[in-house]
Amino acid sequence: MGLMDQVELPQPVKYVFNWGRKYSLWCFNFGLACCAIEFIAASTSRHDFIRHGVIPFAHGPRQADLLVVSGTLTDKMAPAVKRLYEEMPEPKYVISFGSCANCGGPYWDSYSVTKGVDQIIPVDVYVPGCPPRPEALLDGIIALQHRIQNESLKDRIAGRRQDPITLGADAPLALEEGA
Amino acid sequence: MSDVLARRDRALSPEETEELLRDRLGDGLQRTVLEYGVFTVWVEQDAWVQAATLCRDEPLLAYDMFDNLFGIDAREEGFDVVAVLYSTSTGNRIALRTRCAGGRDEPTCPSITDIYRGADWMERETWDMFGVDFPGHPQIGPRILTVENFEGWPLRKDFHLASRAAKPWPGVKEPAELDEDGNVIERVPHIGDAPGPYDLDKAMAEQAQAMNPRPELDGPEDDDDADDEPAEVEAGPDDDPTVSGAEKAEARRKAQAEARAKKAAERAGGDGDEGAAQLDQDVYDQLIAEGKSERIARSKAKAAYIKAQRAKEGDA
Amino acid sequence: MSDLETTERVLPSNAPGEDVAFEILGDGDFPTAEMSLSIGPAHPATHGVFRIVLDLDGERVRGARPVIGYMHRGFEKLAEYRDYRQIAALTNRHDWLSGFCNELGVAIAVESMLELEVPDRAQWIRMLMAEWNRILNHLMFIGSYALELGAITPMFYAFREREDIQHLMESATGGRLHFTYNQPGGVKIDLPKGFLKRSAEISKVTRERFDDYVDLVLGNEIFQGRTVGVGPLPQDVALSLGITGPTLHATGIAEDSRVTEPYLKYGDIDVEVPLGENGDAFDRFYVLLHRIRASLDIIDQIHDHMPAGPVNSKLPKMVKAPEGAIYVRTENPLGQLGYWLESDGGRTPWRFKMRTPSFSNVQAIPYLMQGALLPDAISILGSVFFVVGDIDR
Repeated sequence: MGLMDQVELPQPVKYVFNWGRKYSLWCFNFGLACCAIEFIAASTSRHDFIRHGVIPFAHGPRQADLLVVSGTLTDKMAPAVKRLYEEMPEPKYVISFGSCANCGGPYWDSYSVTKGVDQIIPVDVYVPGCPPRPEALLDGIIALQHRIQNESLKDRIAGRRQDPITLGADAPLALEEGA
Repeated sequence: MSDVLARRDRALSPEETEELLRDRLGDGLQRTVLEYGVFTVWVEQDAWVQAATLCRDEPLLAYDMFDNLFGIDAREEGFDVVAVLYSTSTGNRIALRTRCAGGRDEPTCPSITDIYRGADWMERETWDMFGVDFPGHPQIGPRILTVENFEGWPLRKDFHLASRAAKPWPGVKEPAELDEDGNVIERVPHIGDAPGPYDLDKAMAEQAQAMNPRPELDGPEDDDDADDEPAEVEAGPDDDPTVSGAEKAEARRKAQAEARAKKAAERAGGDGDEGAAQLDQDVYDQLIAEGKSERIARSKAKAAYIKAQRAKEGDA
Repeated sequence: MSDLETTERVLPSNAPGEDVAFEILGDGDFPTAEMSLSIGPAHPATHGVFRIVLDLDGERVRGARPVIGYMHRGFEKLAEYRDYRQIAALTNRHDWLSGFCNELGVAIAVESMLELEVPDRAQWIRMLMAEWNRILNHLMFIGSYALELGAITPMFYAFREREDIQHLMESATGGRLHFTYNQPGGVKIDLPKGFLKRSAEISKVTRERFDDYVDLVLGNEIFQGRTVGVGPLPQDVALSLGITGPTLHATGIAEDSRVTEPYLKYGDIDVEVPLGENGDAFDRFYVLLHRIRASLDIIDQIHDHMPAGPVNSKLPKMVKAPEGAIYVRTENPLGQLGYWLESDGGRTPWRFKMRTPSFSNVQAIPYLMQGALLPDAISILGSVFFVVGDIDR
């Protein structure tokens, strides 16, 4: 990363740089359950999030900027998710897609379900729903892109993360942030 | 297709099947039950393998498809194991059922993997869920579904769900609990009851309340109103949109609005620490002292408070 | 492979708890190394969190051990804590591609135990929805199987139809994946106006586009090369393992609950069961694809039969199944789904056992993989159509 983790970029450079970053989000879908189907629906012809600059063809976590955790996370699976996240290079973003990934969802009382992916990895955007519609994912992606546009890369690389965005609760806020 | 159905003429009736099995198994067959179209044959533990072999090899029975095998908790007597078999030629289905030897401590049941290949994973699953051992199974471990170091046998009735002990039911109705009179316990859901990020809960709860104003959400003071409301999903929502229904709905809406206003006023009037009144402060302090996180402590204290409230109401 | 001359064990850095070791066998010109290859749990070829450990001798698969449980959510335990209406929300989700067919089984079980009369119209609506759901499921597998074999286009084609059908089902049920449209005694609400007309239109369009899939995938030379003769399954093994659905039909056995023990109104209409001959990967896919056409035929018949009338019946305030046990088997898109519902007369089931088709079908994988080549492993894995949630529950 060179200088970028050392100094704050000047505003015009930062603008162009972040503009570039936000429209080339290589996305790794960690499809766990039902929500993965809606993720696929969002990536195919009708909803098509490629038009927003999200590229769902990352061959693995090492080539990805964005991790979409879609579905129920179980205790048996949790170490693998943590490992995948750690394999991703900084700056990296996480979208928690669906109620199960947010908080355990309908399995809140199960003996084998981890109650939310945020217990093991930091999350940037929560998309609620069971499963959320593809449009909700698009909304989450746009909220994330607004955040990326305004963010300081130096802080991000140093691990200083902003509070997560919760769609529905503070989506308007996210838009204000971006303006 | 037609030849499959044509062979149905050969199918034995349940009575004939019982006769044939009793003839071959003797005392090994305990009794048969035919309910809701399911023909269940109870067999002795010793006759379990013999019964399964007979079902497969006897040409009149010809149960060639292995359908299912699972355990059932039989209270203090231990555990049952059920194997469901199906015959593609006769279209009959049979459920063999046996009670495991060894009671609740060391339940065992002979394996039938040699007879039906499909029993392999099913028996592993039964072991994983109930702790029933299957002597003769090629490899019962490691645990097939749960985490390898999981402790306990989840489907036994004495295995309780920890989340339920720690947190109250996040919805309005708790299906598994009844009060003393056998009525549904209706509980006011609170933000933060459900696990997960607090902000998300809050947002979703507020949205849900805004979208579906329901009288039973608004505290215990409008009990009579809540009784009017059909407690469960109504069978025919668009059955009779009569005038009286419309009037009723109007009245309910009014009552709701009042209750909401009242509640809002209460909230505004109360101190800023909105959750404090609902917590069992002692439990909360103790948990904090034990080093638990604030969220867990709050939710546990809330559960303790609700429990205490209910006990108090029960006394009164 | 020339540098594989020593016989020392090479332990590469690996997933924790994983013991992958290479042992060098033989010393000829082509020494082969026996190794075990762990695929998954997060691998694109396993479509879901499914893990399989292959014991390889060179390129030959000596044995395969599926490792399941990564999606185990404890449905059977949770069902014991939920009442009979709430269970529908759980059963929707174990096979997330066929939510409607899943919840159907619970509704039928509870109705049979309560001896509830279900109105005719509700039964026909259920059939209509179940068949649309079946098509939805199969379209997904057409897309994903082709994707695993290296073709991305069928996925886009499949989702074009899927979106139309999902839109149709959403107009009646309000859900895209999890419908929760059934309830004991009927369905939640009646079909919206113009539903049948729209349904007929989509049926017509899907039928026209069906030939696209036949040409695009089934007629494709590469597809045939990778699937014909790969992973054949004999009939007796299939039955002994309890395999059902397209995987069983591919072996030539026409065991389909809709025909052999009709539920709802399937007895009143013609149900065609497409069959294969050899039980190989090609036949499995062939059967899956042609089941779409068969379902469209059923849908057209349902349109002609759809009666008027109520769609649900009055229920008691609290549904309590009487004491006893029932086993309901319905034909799910992936095979036969069985629910064993044992009640002690209470508000929640005493035992709710789900016999899910994928769990049984996946048991065939070790058998099918034995002796196959490594590149064929993916063809085989994809051709035993399964949903991970349906395996692990």
